[in-house]
Amino acid sequence: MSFEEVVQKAIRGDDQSFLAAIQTVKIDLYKTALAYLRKEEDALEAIQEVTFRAYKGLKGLKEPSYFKTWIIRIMINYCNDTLKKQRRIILNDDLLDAEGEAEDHSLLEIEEAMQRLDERSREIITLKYFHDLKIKDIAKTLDCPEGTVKTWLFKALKSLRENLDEKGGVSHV
Amino acid sequence: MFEKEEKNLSELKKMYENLPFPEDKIDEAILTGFKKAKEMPEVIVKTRRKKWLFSGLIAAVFIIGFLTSIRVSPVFASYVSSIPGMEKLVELISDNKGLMLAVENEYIQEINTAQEKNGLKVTFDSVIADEKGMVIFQTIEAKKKQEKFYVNDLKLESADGTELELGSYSYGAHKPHGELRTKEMATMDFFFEEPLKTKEFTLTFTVETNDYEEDFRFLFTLEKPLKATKTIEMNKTILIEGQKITIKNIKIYPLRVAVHVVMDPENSKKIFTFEDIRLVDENGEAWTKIANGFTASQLNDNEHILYLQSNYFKEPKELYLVMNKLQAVDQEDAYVKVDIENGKIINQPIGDHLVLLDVKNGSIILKLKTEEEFNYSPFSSLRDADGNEIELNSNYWTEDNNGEREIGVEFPSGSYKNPLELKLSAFPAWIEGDIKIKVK
Repeated sequence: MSFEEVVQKAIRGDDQSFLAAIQTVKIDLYKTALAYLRKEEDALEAIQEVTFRAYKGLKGLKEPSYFKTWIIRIMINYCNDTLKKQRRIILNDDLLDAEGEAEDHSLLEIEEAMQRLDERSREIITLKYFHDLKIKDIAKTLDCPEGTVKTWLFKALKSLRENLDEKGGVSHV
Repeated sequence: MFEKEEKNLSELKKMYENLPFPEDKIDEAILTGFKKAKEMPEVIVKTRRKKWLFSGLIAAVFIIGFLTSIRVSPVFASYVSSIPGMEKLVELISDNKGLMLAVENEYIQEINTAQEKNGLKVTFDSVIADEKGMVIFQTIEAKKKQEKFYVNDLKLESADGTELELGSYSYGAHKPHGELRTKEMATMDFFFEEPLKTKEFTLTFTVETNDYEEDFRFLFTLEKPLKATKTIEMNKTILIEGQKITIKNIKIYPLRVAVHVVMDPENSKKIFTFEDIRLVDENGEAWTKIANGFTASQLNDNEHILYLQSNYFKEPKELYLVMNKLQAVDQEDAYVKVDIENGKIINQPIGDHLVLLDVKNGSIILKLKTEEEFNYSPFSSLRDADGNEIELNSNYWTEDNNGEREIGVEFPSGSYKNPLELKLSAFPAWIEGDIKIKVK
């Protein structure tokens, strides 16, 4: 049975097929979550929630071959929401605590540059370079023309470069 | 032209590919998420208003919570496991610390009587009662697997004919509808406006399943002396974003804690729900709002009683009432106005959270979009442009689906003066503050 057929069965309500489909993307989901949320326990919670949302939203997946892009987008949306919530908690809490926490992680320059991207740029770059998804697939799941995705990708890479340069500038001081 | 960045990204990707991943934990997370999804019913709740559901003008605010995890204290676990058949209680009340404490303190009364009619068996397991309320635990079993287990025409009466001033009641099962099963465990909650004066009761109801429909009638007597209510007079006024709120008193019952609040009628905002109100003791232990069941009674627009999980069986040295976040909209937006002739929303609170899906003389269906989780039923009543109340046949809302849920009200079609006005009782708009008042 092809992967599309498995997903198709899952959409029709076959639970075993759903779990099988999730199995094929679980590592992609975990790595995406880890890249966004940094902590293993947060990433695991993300997987739990995304499995939940995917199961509930499966009927909305029109084209089985886009399953992977579709579910990774659910993960990215979840991560963005979680980050927003964390930011809000940090703002309400002691700011000093927040700074202390931020310094705990040693981030690669590129990771830091990624974190400072706007949500859409980060999403596009994650989909394209982290998961090697085709522009065509991304366009289909985002429901927009391929040209638009290309424009976003160009802008995203441009801001990524700016973020990297900025970082370089700071470290020279 | 982005060679450098692309190279960086591919190195990052490789780095992540080489990271170890905890496969067992991932699989566990997937299964937990899957189970949660299976257990959550499609539609959260559909309440049909019955004349005797709410007495007088009191509107009850109801929330259905779902179990995410079960955590029990060792004392609780050992007490429960010492009584056969009590393990299932854990599942039913693990989201309510007050009820768990009541069980732990042996304030629960076992009844354990069963009735069987044509293959349908109901067991009245146990009851916890205080001066103003009662929670009944029961199990329904059918010979064949059923998809639905409905309890209809639920009625609690005193055996001697004394009037019970019933304020609100609810029936809740913890297993979702839709799954084939032979057994259903459930709780029935009753809350009274006047203290109970009698000890003997009759409970009648009809169980309706796919294959059965049977009437049941149980006679029972409360044998444990009812614990006296602890009342703490407060009369303290607080200010959140310029809104004045007076905490009149706090009443601590074994089943719940009731916080009586009064909003200043001059406030610029209409306050709906106190989202995170809680009692906190000297050790930082918190008793939060009821997670599943009645969360508040609204005596009128400006006077609410909020229900928290009970700490009756604890004797804290210090106790504080803490709150940070309240649902509120501008007074002039407290009604959503819908033009039912032209199918348009004329007025709603800022943010355009509501979109009209379908409207006709007899029903209004809207979509509510939110960025945050929002599990409240937003409308409490309906009136026409002349201010005449329209009795609702039903009021429903569906579960959150990617930040959107459907809300509908159904009412008898008739000649109403357009536009109709839906009174809000909850809305995804908040005021925030940092309130902590000493209770004792």
